[in-house]
Amino acid sequence: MKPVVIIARRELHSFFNSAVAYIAVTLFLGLTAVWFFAIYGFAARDFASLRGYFGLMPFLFIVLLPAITMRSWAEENKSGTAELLLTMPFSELQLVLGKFLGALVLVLIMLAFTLAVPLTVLPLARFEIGEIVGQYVGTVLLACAGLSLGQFVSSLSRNQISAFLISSLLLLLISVLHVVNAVSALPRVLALTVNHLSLLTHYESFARGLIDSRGVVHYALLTVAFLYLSARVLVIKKWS
Amino acid sequence: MKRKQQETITLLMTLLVLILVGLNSVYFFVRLDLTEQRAYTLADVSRRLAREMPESARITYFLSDRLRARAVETEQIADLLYEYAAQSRANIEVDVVDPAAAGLSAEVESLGVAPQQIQVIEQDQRSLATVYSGIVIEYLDRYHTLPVVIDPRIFEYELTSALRNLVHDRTPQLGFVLGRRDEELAREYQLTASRLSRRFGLRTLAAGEPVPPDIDAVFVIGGRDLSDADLSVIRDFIARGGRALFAVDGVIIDLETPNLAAVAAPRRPIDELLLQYGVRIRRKIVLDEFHRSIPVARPSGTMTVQSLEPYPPWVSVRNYNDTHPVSARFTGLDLYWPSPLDLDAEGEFEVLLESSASAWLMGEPFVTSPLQPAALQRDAAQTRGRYVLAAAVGGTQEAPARVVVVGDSDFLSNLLQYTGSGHNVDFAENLAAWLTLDDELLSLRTRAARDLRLSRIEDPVARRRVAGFAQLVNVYLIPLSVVLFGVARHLRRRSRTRGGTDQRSLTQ
Repeated sequence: MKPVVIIARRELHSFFNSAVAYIAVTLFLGLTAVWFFAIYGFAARDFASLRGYFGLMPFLFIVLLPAITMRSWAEENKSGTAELLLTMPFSELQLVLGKFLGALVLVLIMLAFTLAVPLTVLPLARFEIGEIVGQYVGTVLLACAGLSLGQFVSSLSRNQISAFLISSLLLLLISVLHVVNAVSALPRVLALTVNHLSLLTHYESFARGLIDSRGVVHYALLTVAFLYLSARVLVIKKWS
Repeated sequence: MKRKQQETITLLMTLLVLILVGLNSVYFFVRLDLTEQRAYTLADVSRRLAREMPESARITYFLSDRLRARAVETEQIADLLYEYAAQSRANIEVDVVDPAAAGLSAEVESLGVAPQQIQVIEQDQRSLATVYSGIVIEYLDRYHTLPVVIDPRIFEYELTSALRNLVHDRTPQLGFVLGRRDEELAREYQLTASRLSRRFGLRTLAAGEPVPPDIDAVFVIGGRDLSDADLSVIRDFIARGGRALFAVDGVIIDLETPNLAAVAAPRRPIDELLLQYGVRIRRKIVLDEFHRSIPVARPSGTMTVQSLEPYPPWVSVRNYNDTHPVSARFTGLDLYWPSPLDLDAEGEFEVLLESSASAWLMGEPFVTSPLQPAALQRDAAQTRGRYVLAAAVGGTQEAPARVVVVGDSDFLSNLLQYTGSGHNVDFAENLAAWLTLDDELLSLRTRAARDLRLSRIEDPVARRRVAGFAQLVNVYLIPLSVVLFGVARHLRRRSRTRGGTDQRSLTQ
């Protein structure tokens, strides 16, 4: 566990030593707040729920998470430090987990700042606290899946921009996969499978304050699968 | 080569395991309901009913695949149905059937399941598709249909009450006594009648008609034309343990006149009856800072311009009794020109609804025209305060009376469609459930409902201030503090690096 923490700290330091973390955090907080208070019109709607606020997060994540993960391996591959890292006394899985943990901590810091939203609007109405807890749980699990996908794409790439674009595109596809059902009449089993695979379908349950094991397992499996694949890519690179 | 093969096999095996775990999770799942009232979990009353039914029931959910793929709510309804089946210890059998695929569309419609139209785009063509999301419950030789089910939050209430009515072979009956002889329930109270008829049998009682023994509760709306003899049958009904709602105005508004002329109601027999229960309807109108808007037509040249104007006599009620079953999970209520209630100091009452503290009264001469907003404020300074708008009259322990008085006869009328006040019917449904002594079902009904308005702070100025503060903190202060922290950290690092460089050059 210690090597994972060491790598995570190194990753986190590199985020905060560059402008990336500050730009990402500021944009994320600013955009979500402007959306909720000015565009969505929380006060004018007179509606005691943060669904409007959390409803934007999956769409912001499509851009934000790849922006965080794009440099995790692409930059190392380009500058040649990946080979150096692979010779260190860390396993491939530890390296992958460390980088994932570093990125996840950055996302958790962002989400910690968003706690100001429920805290400042709570005096206005009787909010459903369970719903807010569900929304945070869903957002963290969604972030895990998105970060691991981003890291996998980055591990295959030598270019940050292409890693960002491909990750965003893939994340967009699996987030809104269920839209296929709105524009085509798929056979029942296929339609249900498409719905199940879509990230947003499960997020909907969390947003209502319902923690459904199907959603948890789906997000967890995506996370594990992409982290595992990232580690395999490193193994292949090491031996090739 | 051998290593490469091993790698491939390991990779494939791992992915296979992950896929199997994923498939498994679809069939074996648990749900943790974090909502305060466990809105998505079967309540005790539903579980008990499912287990203790003397005969088994069959529930068929007629759900179009097209709708199922588009509306995630239908999946939640199906999940809840399977939970009923699981809790029933084989008492309930559940089927989910696509009527079109099974070739049953005509049969399903003949059973009362309502077809719905949705827009679909298929093969680049936009078209309307007919879909179904309705439930048929079969029990012995009886059946009950829920024509459209789409909202998982109220689904349990709808299904459990329907199942209970089938098992007991009885639907609670409501009698309506309309105060004006020219009124008709289905015409003047369209939305209310259509919603209440889903759960209750509705019957209009002619003035003076004895209340039939199978009627559980009576709704007396208005009461202008009711004579003492007409009301004596209601009095007898309540004396026999019957329950009643009285929705009565102290001021009569003439909706036919352009300025909505108002006059104080003359003293009527219904006032005498209510006095016997300790309630006096005052000849005043309550106006409130929390109010709805009214559509107003103004002549402008040769044209008429329509606009929505704020209208304090249409009170948006925000103060409710959160300990009484009727108003515990209040979703909102709009009252039209309500009159305040005076409650006998020696009587036992539970106040259900009150105006806000920034309400005021208007007495004679009444000015109720929305075109004279200043006149509506006429008596505001002298009469500012909180006023009782609805109360439940308590009985004795031996004979608990269930009488509710609301100081407005219009809140269930078609006026509610002008203000989009569907929550008025929710309140009526709560009242009906409580008056028919269905406390268990009432708790089921109200547990998913909650006041979703930003109503915790009553004073609108203070409310705006708190909302403004939230906006200031989240839109400006927090993002700005992150930027400042970043700049400060960058400057500190730069000065440290410079310091290091200077020191190095000194030692050289």
